[in-house]
Amino acid sequence: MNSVSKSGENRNASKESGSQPALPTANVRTIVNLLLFMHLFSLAVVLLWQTNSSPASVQLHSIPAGYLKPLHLDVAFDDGHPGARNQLQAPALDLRHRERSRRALLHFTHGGPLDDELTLEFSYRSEDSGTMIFLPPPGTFSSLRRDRFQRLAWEIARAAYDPTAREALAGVLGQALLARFNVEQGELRVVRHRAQTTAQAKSRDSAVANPLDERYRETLIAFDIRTVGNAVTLSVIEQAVATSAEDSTGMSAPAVDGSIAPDDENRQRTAPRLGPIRQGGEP
Amino acid sequence: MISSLQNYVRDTAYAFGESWNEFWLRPANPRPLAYLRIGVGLLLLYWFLTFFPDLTTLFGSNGLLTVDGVTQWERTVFAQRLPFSDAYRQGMGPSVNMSVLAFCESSTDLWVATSVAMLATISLVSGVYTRFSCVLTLVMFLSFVNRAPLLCGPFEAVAAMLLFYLALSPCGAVCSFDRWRQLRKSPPLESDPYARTLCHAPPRWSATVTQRLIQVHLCAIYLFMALAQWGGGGGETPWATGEAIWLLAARPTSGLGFGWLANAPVLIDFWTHGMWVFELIFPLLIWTKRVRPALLFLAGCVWLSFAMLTGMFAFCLLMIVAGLAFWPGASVSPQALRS
Repeated sequence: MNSVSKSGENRNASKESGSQPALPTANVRTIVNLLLFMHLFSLAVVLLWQTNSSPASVQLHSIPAGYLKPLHLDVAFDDGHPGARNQLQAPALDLRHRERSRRALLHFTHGGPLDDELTLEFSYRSEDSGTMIFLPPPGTFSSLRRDRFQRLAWEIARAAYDPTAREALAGVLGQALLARFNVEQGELRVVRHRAQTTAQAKSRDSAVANPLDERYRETLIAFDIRTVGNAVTLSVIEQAVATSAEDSTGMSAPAVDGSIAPDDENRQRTAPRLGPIRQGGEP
Repeated sequence: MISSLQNYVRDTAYAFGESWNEFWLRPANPRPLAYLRIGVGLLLLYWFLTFFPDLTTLFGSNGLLTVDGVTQWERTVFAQRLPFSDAYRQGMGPSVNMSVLAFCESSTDLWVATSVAMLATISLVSGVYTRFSCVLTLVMFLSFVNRAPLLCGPFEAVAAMLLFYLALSPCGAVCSFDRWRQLRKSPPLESDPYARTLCHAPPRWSATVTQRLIQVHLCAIYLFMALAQWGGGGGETPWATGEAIWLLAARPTSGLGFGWLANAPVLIDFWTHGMWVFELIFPLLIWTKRVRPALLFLAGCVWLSFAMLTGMFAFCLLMIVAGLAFWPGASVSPQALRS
């Protein structure tokens, strides 16, 4: 014991006598180390139990959550659904999986339909004409601003497959959109702009090779929103259904000749769209 | 036998404690934190600016994301899943409650709050009352984040981490208005002219702790970024199959026209796997002094190329700025810094 402490003192003394500045006092060291340990433990719990949904891990996770959540340090790094490349159906299939309200989305892409570029389109009709609002507005330069609306569309598309979440969305967005434009009925659409495959990008057909071609656009989900009395109802009028090709690769398989799949191949329609529309700008 | 075992345990414990204190608490120059403060502050200024066009659209009384709406959405979507509901009740209430913006009832209130946030960020960048302005910037930033967590992504995750640690650090001790004011008020007695410059301040242990926390947390982010890309817990992802970079480049709003990549499948594979390997080795090799400069240079190249590919310039610049946490500051004497 003595030899240990003596050697320790010697080592400390040699460091203190050198050009290096001295360590803080023992009391300060104790307090700082205690706080450090608590913070690092909290971070470790939040980071290590990202996807585990066992009751024990959830209970453990709830301890530092009250401290890390206000600081936005409790984010999940991916989309929260392990191995679910077809994220369209993930919420419905994976109810036992823990959901996080905060995601860093640092995986950037998992090749699923929701990893493509998404746009929110709200259309409504007043008197004899219709108006369509795009979110984000076309030509938005800032990626930060664009990504905010992308993530909003992402949340809507995910929640759409869960009846409870869908009802919540009616309360959030439906009501707000109808009130904002002072209309009683409208249509909210999450549109996916499919990423080209390399075969399509190399195609000799100029329409196929054009990444902005309309045929790459696909409605993931469309809602009819309307005011009934004091309540807002929301019903699904169009919904993309994952094909077997999408199940295995996360993307619609290109045709052999690199052409684009027909627009309505992967969807079910349950009601007609609104009448003639006029394209508008920002809300 | 038992005695030697006891000695071994004591020696090991002592050595660990000594290394721990050395790593976390040996006073260091706060200059790297000042660089971080300026870089993060400028990017946050841009972040706040991007809210201007959508402030009332998103958060106004007739906005898309009303306070009640977001609360209801968060409660319904994230509280319904068992056993998560237990954890939710115990301390993970709605985020909106933790936001100053929840009290902004009119659009004027929203504009005032955003203006305060921007003024605080400008003060942070220039180092005016740095401690206060940093805390105020953090509060305002988190208010925006907690007002609508569903709008947040990679940028917010990394910025929150950096800003939180900067608020704890003496990041205004150098390269700041505070330092200039301090020099005017009481010039140092040291004969060394370097001690009288804006870029010099005595080493502080609080600088070391916060710089180390940023370093460790950044390494964790890199590691979990790689893990999330590879599998997200299982399954084959485009990062494993080598097509991720193409999928990101093929987005219509992606960077600078990378359509030509379609003719270079080998480059797509190499880029995808190269980026993933970089994210994996960064947290392991950055601690090696000899490799560190090369790795930081590589980080600059990786994130700049990724920014051009995806158009995510703000996030990529933030990752480059975060790398400044590994700028030599810990336990470096002023003489070494001068040279």
